[in-house]
Amino acid sequence: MDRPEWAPPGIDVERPSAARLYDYFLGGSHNFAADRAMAQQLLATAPDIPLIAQANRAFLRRAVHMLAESGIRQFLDIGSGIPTLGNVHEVARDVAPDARVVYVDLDPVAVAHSAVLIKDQEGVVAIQGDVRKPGDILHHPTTRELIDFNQPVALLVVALLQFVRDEDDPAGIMAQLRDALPSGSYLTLSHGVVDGWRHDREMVKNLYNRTTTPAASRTRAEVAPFFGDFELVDPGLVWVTQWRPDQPSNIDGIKAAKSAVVAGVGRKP
Amino acid sequence: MIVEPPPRGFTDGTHITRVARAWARAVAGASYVPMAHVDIELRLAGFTTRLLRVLTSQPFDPSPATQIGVELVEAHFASPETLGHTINVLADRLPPLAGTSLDSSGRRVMRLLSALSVGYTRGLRERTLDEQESIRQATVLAQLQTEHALRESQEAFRHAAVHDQLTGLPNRIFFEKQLADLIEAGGAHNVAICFIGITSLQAITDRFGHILGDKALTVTADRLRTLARSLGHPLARFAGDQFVMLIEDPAGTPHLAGVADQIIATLSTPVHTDRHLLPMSASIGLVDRPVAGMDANDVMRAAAMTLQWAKADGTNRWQLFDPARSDREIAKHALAADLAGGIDRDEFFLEYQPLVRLEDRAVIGVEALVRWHHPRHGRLNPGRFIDLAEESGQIVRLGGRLLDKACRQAREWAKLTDSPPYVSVNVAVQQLRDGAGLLRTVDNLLQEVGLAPELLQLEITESASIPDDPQLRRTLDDIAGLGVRLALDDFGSGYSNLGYLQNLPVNQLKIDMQFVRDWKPSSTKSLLPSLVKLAHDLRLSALAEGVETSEQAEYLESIGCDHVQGYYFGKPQAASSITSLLLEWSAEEI
Repeated sequence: MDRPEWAPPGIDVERPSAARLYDYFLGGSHNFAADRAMAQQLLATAPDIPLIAQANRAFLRRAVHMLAESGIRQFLDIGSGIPTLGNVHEVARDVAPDARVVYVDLDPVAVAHSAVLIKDQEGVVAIQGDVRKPGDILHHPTTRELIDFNQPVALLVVALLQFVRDEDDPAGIMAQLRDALPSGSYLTLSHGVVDGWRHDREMVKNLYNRTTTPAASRTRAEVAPFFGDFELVDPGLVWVTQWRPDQPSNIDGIKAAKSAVVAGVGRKP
Repeated sequence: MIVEPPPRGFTDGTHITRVARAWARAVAGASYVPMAHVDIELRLAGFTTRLLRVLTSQPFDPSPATQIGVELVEAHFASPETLGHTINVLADRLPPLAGTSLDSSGRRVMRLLSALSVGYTRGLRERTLDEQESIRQATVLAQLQTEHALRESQEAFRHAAVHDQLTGLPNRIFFEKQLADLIEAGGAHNVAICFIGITSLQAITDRFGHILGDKALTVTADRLRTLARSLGHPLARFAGDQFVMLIEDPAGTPHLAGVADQIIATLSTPVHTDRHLLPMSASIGLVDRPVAGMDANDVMRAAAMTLQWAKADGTNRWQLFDPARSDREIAKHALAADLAGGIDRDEFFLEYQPLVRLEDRAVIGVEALVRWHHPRHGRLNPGRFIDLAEESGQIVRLGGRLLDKACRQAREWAKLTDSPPYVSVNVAVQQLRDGAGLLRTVDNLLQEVGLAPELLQLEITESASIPDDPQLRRTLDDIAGLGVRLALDDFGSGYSNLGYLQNLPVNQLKIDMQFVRDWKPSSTKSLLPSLVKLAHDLRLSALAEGVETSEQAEYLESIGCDHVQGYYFGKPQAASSITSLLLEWSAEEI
């Protein structure tokens, strides 16, 4: 390690980042040559990735919309990435203009970008944080300032945990995050899974391992426990396109099982 | 100009909706549009309506389609594929809606879609450039923030490295750097170091533990910090219970004394804790030196030494550095360091002072007195080094060597005359404590040299520890059991517990020279007769030390003193001189 332990994470635009790759797959240009080169390699192996990214993003929109309509006013979005389109605060404030959002990402560029984008918007902040250190996120002064942990919170962990390897104890991380939330809070979670994945699994995993956030491969059955004792709302943990799809539903870009992402929303009893 | 009829069914909403739905299906998955499907269709229906209006405008002007292209991108229908699919759908679906066949309106549709494509690609390009710019700026910002955070963490790291965790004061490293910088800058003429020791702290920690000790230290540090701020002098925690204040260009010694008094007054206020009132005390060493040519190490050593002087003076005292005293102490330190080597190199030798029987002025014994032939300082008397030897523990080894020399010399004299003198050798308490060792040494030595035990006398100094220490008592008894004589040296000068004298196996009291020196022929008050009588009552012989005049000798004889020692009867001298003396005497006797 060439940086001392106490030093903040550095910026390396020569190394692809999952956040910028995601942006690229959503059609954004918030990315660098290194990201695009990696994206081309991924697309050659798995051409459906942009459709999967879109489906995942659409799920986030539907879920946040539903949560805002259910009365949730506080959102903690961990792994928010580059805020390309349809950000949580935009969706939530469409329904509830007083909704408050804390964006958390590991990538300093993503955080800086979010900060510029949400500048001058009261009740929306972006902080740098690592989901592997949930305590740091939960006790971050900015988090504490914006979010009242005595009121229901919507915790968003969307397409994030596939970048947390088992040795980093994602189950323990999720338990700590869930424990911090009061009753009536929600966990919105989606996770890339290997069930039904038609593409070269190892190849994709190896490619992602070259980014700043290596990937883990899990099955749907391994994702379910991340909800703990939270009660899944209808329709449960399903393919991402099947979670309360829009009507008419005949214009989805990808078939359910091809999405390779499961998603669900759970409520803390 | 060709005037086209208005499109058939132009206002028919269901047709528009149908086109919008087909359009939405065609572009599905080509780009991410952050809207519900219903909203996507509504939005595309709006674009369809506007495009139809452009297509059927009279006169035909395709340019508004450029703006629609821009808006499509703005609504996030934005990807090359989206444009392709859009052209396909619109080329197919718009002409029937306009009430014309593709063929008849082909040219208009082409111009319309061309204008749309121009707007669309322009919008896409703008958006791409904007996003690239924003990510670039975000990167720059993130880099700045990272660097800032790095600097802050480095700063915090550096701060932690040069500050004391408990008190938050600068630590020794910081202080030494500050002093070094000050010396290097050379801005100040003089600099004074105020070296503060919290003398009460050790006792507090010993008695109440570290938590309370730390508490007392923190309170002390806060008091000092407040005072230092008001005086405008930098302060640091140097080590443990030591603080140091740096005073640039002090206005003379009275000023420094004032600062020291203030510090002591501030620090000597007791510290209140929940359950205790802790008495506090401090000592201070002050050093004031010119900055020019100053050596930081040297000045700190001087400050530490001065603090020790202040501590030795009592509590709540300060001392100003005294170069002469420092030189003496340094010399003493150097001498102490030379001791061990001196013993190895046999640099110590003995001189002998006659012990004379008053009755016939016969030399009945000699006291062996140590000298050091130091390679640099020349001949040194015991006053210069005996304390050092005791402090360093070398006295045991040195004492052993001297005992050896003295016994061998005594044996020489025993061969020379029929009534040889005994040799009286000083023994330090530390040697006595090594009881078995001393006993063995003496016993072996007597055997080895072949010296009669009564020709050896050991002189022990009156000491507070003798009466209370059964081990020491036993050693003395054992030595006396060998037949060796014992004398109590410097009697009356120090600790006197007369009670224990009754049981001590000594043969002689050596009355301290002070009593003789204080006696004048005109004196009406003197303890000498009582001391002599005391010795006799205990069945001990009395020897008066320090006899320098005939009057003294005569007086001592008149009060019945048995023996004397002093310049009047002979200075300490080389063994050979004693030998000559003995030879003279034995010649006279013959």
